[in-house]
Amino acid sequence: MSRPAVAPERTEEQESGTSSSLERAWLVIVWNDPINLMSYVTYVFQKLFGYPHAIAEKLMLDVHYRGKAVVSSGTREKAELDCSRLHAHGLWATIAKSD
Amino acid sequence: MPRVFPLDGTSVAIALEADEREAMRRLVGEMRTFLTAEIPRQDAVRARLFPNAYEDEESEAGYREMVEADLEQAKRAALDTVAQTLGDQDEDLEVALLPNEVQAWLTLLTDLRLSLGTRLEVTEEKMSAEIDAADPDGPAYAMLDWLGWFQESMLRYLDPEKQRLQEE
Repeated sequence: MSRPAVAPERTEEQESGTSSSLERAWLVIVWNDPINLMSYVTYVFQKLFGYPHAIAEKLMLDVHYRGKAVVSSGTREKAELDCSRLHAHGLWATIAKSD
Repeated sequence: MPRVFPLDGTSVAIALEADEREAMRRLVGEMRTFLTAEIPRQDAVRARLFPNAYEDEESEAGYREMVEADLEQAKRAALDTVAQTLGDQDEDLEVALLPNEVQAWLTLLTDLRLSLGTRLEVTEEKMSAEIDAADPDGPAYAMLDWLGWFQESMLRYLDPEKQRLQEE
């Protein structure tokens, strides 16, 4: 991603909530791209998934520095819906089955 | 440069000078041409605007069948909304966007940057480098920066949580 406005601090928050292994079977992964703004990617995670800013930013930084991050998971239907919403917002997202 | 003014967190007001308004209209026209043309899937820009969701072909075909038409429709709707904001007058533009309009602008600014950046084959190194005046791609990089600056200015005044609540 391009041009961070400021260097945000890393946060230790984890995604909360417990789901059954069946529900978590499909993962939605967002990949790093050199074009989208870091601020925009954080914004999309907040807007689409309702993540607090700190968690959305941590996911964005994972995408930026590690190349990818799992941003949501669930049934195949949920993963496809989330993936299509990310695609509609211009993020590079894919779906994979959890090991 | 375009100016952006805060409203209530769910939208913004924008001000474009006449030449910026004209430049946006031209970009909207180019994107419309691209979206209505029969562009092969392998085209790099097409592939970036309509990414694959799955590695395996069967799942991917199913995904496309389910979402592609809606995705195309959403992109065309965003174009129409932005074209409506821009209007056909030549003078400077200053307008308060409605919440659904601000979403269309963010979507279109993203698509324009993705198209431009994909065509330029940008890398993170190139994106953060100073624009070289002798580079024939210089104007395209300047446009990419301009669109990014515009988008960043909008995002500064938007509160995604408030937007979510309003959309519910």
